Amino acid sequence: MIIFEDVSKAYHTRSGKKIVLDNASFDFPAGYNVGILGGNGAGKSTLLRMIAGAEPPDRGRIRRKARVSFPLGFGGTFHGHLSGRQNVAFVARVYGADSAKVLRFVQDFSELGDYIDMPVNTYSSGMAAKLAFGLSLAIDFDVYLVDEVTEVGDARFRRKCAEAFAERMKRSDIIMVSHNSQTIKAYCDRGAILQDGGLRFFESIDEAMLFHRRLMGAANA
Amino acid sequence: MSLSAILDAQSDWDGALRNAITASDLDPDNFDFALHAGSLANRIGRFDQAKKVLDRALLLNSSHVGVLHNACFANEKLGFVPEAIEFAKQAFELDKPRAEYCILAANLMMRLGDFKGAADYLLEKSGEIAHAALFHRTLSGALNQIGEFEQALEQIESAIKLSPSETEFQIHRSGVLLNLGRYNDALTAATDALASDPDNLNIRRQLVTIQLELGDSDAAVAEAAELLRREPSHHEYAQCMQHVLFQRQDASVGIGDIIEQKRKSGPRRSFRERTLLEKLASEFRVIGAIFLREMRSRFGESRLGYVWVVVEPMIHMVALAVVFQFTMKGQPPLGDSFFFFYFTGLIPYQLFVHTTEQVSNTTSHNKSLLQLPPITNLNAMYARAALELYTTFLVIAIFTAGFMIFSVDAIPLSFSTALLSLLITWLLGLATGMINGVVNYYFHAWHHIFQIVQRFLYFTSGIFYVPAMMPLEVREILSWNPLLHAVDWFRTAFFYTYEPPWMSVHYLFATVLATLALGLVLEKLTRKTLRRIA
Repeated sequence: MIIFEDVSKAYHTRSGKKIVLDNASFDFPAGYNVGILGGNGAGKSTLLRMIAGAEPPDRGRIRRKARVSFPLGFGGTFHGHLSGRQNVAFVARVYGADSAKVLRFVQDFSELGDYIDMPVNTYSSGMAAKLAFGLSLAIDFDVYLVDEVTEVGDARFRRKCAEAFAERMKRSDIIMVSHNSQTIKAYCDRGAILQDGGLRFFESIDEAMLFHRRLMGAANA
Repeated sequence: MSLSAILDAQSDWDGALRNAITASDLDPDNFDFALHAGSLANRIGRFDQAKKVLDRALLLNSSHVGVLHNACFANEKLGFVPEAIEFAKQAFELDKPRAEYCILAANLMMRLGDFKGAADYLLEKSGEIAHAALFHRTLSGALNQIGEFEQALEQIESAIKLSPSETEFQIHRSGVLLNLGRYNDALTAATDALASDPDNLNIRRQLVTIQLELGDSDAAVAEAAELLRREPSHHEYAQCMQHVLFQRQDASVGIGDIIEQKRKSGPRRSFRERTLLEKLASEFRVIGAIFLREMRSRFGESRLGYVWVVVEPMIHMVALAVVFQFTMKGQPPLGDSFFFFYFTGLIPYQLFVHTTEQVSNTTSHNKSLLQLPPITNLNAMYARAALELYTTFLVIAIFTAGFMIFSVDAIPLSFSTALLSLLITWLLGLATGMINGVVNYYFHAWHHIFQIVQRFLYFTSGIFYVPAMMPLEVREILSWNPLLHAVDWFRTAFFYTYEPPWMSVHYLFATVLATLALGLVLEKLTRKTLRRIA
């Protein structure tokens, strides 16, 4: 359960102030996978980072009655001079997870072999992504946040990701942002649309999609 | 004029155009000459010349379909789309009830992205038009773009009624149904269209999308394969295939089953708010993690990274001692060893300076770290400050061992005073660092100014002298510097004869508390702002 209470948030771009949320209250109930739709620049990624807690709201309060992940596959916190192993241990410590267990999972999952002991700045982007993805899945979160499923690795690795993800989803929920309607359909059972400073929930993905298409059309008008 | 017509007939286009323009120039009031030259220029692609003579023709007679048609064409080619739209609209008014120019105007509006304008215009004119399939098709396209899917469906069905064999209409109808979420109907429509035109690859491409929406990834793969078989080097079809394959993988997750399973397995493990103790424990865990990371990553910059941290004060002290050994003859102000005297001055000074520096850089050096929600600005500051304290103790340990080897008594007389004075110096550094971090953000030059302040503190904190050596008036002024008190207090732990009457531990504590309060308040006030730039 993640509860937004009277939350306002805006961000500034070169073309002016963009309002993401305007005094909005809603909650993500436990037990559902929610796909968030919205036009370009509506602030979907900002919303996700707010859910994660990486971005503070301008006003209002966000309460998390769950252990919420950082956005899945986010490797931005990796320190280039430290080895993969040290970076993984760091994140595990921060989240109070069992470092040894997390490390075992990541080593097995990301298939980096001896590279796990090399500085992360020697990794290819694909390797770094595998490490980040493995790390996200290794820690036991109640809610996983996914910002645009990145197409990492070859078909085999993708299958592995999907399977590991499915395993997690038996106990955990997902909140996902994607431009790809089929991806949202594959992973989510509820839809929500970020629009005009509010988040509107729909009982089904198809309903949300139809509304979203109309909305995108209205934006053309 | 007639020469132009002859040349025209002989296909000498350039000559014909030259003559036509000359004719029009010679007789600028002749509408036919201007129109002839304009349409000729359009025909051979001289749109700027066409526009010039057509403007002349329009002045003479603007209610002529031919001239409006040509003006629309030339303006459109030259990129003056809004003007072209106006001409098309005027042409339509003269040409009613034929729909041709009405459709043209709408298509031009849509090219400018004005789907709403196009739809409104077409709807407004629909009463004045004889039934034309293309009119309904165009209107349906505009309505579809502005999200009016039901109306779009109505229009395309009217178009199909008038012209049932048009495959493109069928594809469009299928697309509208797709937008309405009526996937099965969309599939039927596309399949029917394909039956009447089996070689139409656009329909097959549409089928792939529909099948993906329906979750039938095997059919989508088959259809995408057929596309690639027919046009193996088509880039978009290759991408389509890749996309389909990725989707199939995602679909294999089988959300339906998992949701079902989740429902069956009953309520999830319960979440409870953490107790204060647990929150505190997690705070320490996070600080510890950052502490370790900081230490390791400083090593990472160069192999000697952390060793350098220890070596630096050593070199400093040796240099100072060597210089003063020769300039100040005889005894050091306190104790028997110049080295040890400087050591007791430099340790608190460096602890303060390094802690200030590290803490004030926390936000700018840890932007990526702050992306992890459990990590706050504050605990990153504490971790970096803690590393400085740890380093100081390490340096003291190494030096004490060194002094013992050279039989200098470096063991403090009062461990508690030594420890307490260092801790209070450290807190002063932490608090000053917090303030500096905030001030740096709003006032970049502060970083440089504070470096000058540091130099100043170096000379006024009694590192290489004791305040007793100063005249009273100077000492009065120096004693406003809290760091002077910190250094003196640290020294009282080592030299038992040393009891400086000007030293006030109360003043030191009061300064530290005030600075710390200010630092924490500033941090709290700017937390969101600083985090946002992270």
